Amino acid sequence: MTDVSPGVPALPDGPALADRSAGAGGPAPADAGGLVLGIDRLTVAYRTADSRRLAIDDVSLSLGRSEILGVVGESGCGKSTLGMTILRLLPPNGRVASGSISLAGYGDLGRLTAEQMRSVRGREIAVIFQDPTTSLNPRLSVGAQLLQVQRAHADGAGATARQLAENAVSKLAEVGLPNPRHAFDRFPHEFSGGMRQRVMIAMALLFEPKMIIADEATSALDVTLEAQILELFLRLRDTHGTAFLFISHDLGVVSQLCDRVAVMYAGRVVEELPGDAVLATPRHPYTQALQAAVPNRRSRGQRLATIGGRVPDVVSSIDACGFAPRCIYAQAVCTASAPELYPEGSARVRCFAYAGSARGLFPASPVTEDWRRRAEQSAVAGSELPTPDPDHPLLQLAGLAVHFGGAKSRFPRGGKPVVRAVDGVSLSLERGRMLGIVGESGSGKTTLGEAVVKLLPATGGTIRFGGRDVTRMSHRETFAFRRRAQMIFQNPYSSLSPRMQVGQQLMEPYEIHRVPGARRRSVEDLLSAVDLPAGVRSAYPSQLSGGQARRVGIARALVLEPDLVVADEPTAGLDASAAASTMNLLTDLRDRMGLTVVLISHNLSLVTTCADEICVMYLGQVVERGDTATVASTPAHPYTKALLALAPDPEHSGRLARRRLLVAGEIPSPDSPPPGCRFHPRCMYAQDVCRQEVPPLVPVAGGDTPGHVAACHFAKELQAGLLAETAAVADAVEPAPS
Amino acid sequence: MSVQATQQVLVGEAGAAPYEPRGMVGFARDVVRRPAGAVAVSLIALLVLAAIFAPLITPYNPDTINVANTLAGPSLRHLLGTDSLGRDNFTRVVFGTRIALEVALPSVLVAFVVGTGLGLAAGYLGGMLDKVLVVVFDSLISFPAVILGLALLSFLGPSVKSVVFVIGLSLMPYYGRLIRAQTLSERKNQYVKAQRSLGASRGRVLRKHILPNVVPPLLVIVSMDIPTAIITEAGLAFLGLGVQPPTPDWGVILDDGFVNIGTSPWEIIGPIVALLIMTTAFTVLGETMRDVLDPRQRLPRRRLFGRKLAALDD
Ligand code: SF4
Ligand code: SF4
Repeated sequence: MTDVSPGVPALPDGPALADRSAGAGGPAPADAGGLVLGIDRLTVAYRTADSRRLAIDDVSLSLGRSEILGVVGESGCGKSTLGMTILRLLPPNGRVASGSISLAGYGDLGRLTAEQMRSVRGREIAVIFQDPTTSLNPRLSVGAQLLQVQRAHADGAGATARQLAENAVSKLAEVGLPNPRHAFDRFPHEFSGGMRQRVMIAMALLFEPKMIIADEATSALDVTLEAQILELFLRLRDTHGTAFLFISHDLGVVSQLCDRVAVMYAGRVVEELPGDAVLATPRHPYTQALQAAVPNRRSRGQRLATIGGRVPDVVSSIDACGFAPRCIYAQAVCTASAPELYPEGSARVRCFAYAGSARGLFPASPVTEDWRRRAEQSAVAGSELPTPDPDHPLLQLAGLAVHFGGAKSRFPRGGKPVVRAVDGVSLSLERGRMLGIVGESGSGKTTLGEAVVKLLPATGGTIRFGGRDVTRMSHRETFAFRRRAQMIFQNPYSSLSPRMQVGQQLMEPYEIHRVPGARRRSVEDLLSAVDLPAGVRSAYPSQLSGGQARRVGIARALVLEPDLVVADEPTAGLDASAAASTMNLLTDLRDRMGLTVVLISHNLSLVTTCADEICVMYLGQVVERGDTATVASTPAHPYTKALLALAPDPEHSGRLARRRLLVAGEIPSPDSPPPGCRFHPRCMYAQDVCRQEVPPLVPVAGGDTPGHVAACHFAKELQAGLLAETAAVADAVEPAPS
Repeated sequence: MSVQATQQVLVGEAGAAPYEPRGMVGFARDVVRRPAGAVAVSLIALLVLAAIFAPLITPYNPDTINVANTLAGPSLRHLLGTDSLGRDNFTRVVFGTRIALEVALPSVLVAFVVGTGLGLAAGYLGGMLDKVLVVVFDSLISFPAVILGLALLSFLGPSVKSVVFVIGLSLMPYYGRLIRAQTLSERKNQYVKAQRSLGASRGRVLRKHILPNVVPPLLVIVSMDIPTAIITEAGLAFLGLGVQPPTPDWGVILDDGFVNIGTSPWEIIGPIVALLIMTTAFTVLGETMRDVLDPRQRLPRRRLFGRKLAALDD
């Protein structure tokens, strides 16, 4: 392999890149002066109790100044290890077996003393992790922590405290904290998740490092906040020339942000390609499979592709394509020798289908569609289903409210305001349909779901389930209701009893409801219904993978054959392929057994792909509701429109740098919703009337799309594309003060 | 970069894996598989056997007085010599094991059962009951155990039963508090919610799901408390408030031995060694259980880890 071309970063051809950096007004990466980081034939191995595991297998990469290099792959592909190896922070059982990493101005990092390396960390290379809560000390103010980091480095001691504080405040301002001087004295818990992540970025910037390693830095954030942070990264790159190594599992995000992307599989780089090509023209079968597994505009109404099998544990460098066991194109040649990185257009692909010599062995070039087609074929034909009956919906909510605190609280005058988590939601859902509820965290969607299955008491309104009011059920009726309405919880591990074997847990519902033995299905049967092997029955939850635990959760929810299932973020924390197969499972259950599903998710692409109807929530209220196709094609609320715009789109990739963010700021606290339209502080179309009058939830488009309702004064104008952005928010690319 | 952040990553990837809950049998097996656990368990088994088969181990009766041979030194016939009344010291120590276990095990067991029950109720049911129980636990704890014991024993009169009661009562509130805290944190877990959504009753959730999760950490403490109970028992006997002479009790023997320590130091050796063995065995067992439950808490490992980290940086 000859991945490193010294001096010049191996940049792919440029129209897209030039376009992007020109649009952002920054220096073009190629002429900005060489390489920041070079990784040369790096191999990293972990020693485990009885064996060795190869985490990185002969990887060569380079990172130029002002460049954003993405590293993607499923978990276990070695992408996080790469970041840790660069920082020389491998865990004690990890070791660089061969190869080197060199940093501009320092040479081979492996040769530096511990002391020198310490000063490289933070000063030259900074890191941002996924979870800012665990990276910040809760007992120290943000300012104190910023000062501490500066003092920890040798020359920080020379500067006066005042200079250090000034530096810290200026960084806080730079990352867009609304009131940096004020923020300096605040404690981490006083910030929202998005703001805490900004504090972490400010900390990373203190010494103006040459490069920043962002390890899943935006994965825990809502799409809107994620977009803001990505925007911030782009700005930092443009103003400081900082290079980024952006490690992520999310193809969509990577395609929006990165100049160049390295796709890793089983420790090897299998494809290197320009950021925009990730969704548009992926070449390697693995990249294509990942792409086909991620819901996007193209996948609407289709099954998502899944990749069979799992990422292998590599013990030593194998003389074959590591992806061969899971690849739908695999030929004899693939297991006979290891493919190199072959150039193909603007990309380099480690696959024999692109090798000059072996090309003839493959009937056609691999395309993403093949994975989709295979997924469609695996669908099981639907049996006789009950026809939806619009007059007798299975679930009907009228003015549902769930408030916390306030008068009903145990501490009547504790001074805590009422939190209106769900505030007047009305909707109805027919049997055998899937309703997707979308919104940012804090929109009340999970609270709504838990109220529907009666895990939280409704404080107002009614929930009718098959004609009966759930909120007025007696003890016995509730017990019977629990058989018919089930919930799939967000965290698959914590929702399973930790000290009980899977098989036993699946029998629990039968025991609780005293179902006679003859009418029980066997554990094997229940497991196979969710595609789990029978061997899982004797496992404890902690021994399951994320996808398996999720499936056990689904299986348990289905044991009693309920009519309604509320699935709360069923794909959270899963790799693309596992997420896709979980969603396929839910849609199959709907199509085959007529299961009614309420799908709660923050991911609008996922919801538009799978659900029949969409309900967009904001601050405890429904802002738009309707048929999936209608809402997705002609959104009638600015919030829906913004969420749709943030979803990755293979046809128009790389829009982030050129486009202004459609929604600024963060969701306010539900204890004091803004007057008038609750969305107005973040709405780019807001006008005076919006600040005073609450927009009612009314049908849009004059009734040619029945059931499509939206709560916006200007819904019709928005759909017609007649709305002008109001000046007040047009420059709100900077986060609005909260 | 932030130190905590990097530590986080390190601990996340390199720290020993948290204990994978398997059933109680699996837990017991994991404990016995460790060398320390195996040694502790065999020592405890030995002590229990000694207590059961005491009459078979020594040819003497612990209470038989032999005025002709008082305060004798060790010999082949009397391994640890004889006491001021000519009773065989070794025999009395062996029989003392019976009393020690007869007091320690029931008292800790009673405290364990009552404490767990009350703690579960307080933590899971909450409300008024919780408030009352917390006050009860706290006021029992705030009494110095010795004072409480002295007062109760002088009221109840010294006997094995009252000693069991006193020791049990002084341990119970600690267990109750621990279980209550554990229950409160378990209750927040989603599996409890999931069980409710399946229609499970409170009792069922408590019994089948919360109980198995809160008990193992308590077992650690219980095991370490058994020696405390034994020493307390011996201490009370030593003070003349517990088991009364001539019962062959370690505390009683010690008391007697100290009186004659000038002429024959042999009498106190037996109970001291026995106490040491018993204390060590139960403490090591407790520590092993803790290690099995949470390998990351082990101190030596942490130091080792720190050193390795430094080595990595070199
Ligand atoms: S080399 Fe063969 S097995 Fe590997 S990705 Fe290409 S076609 Fe698939
Ligand atoms: S009512 Fe006004 S503020 Fe609210 S969404 Fe519509 S345009 Fe925006």
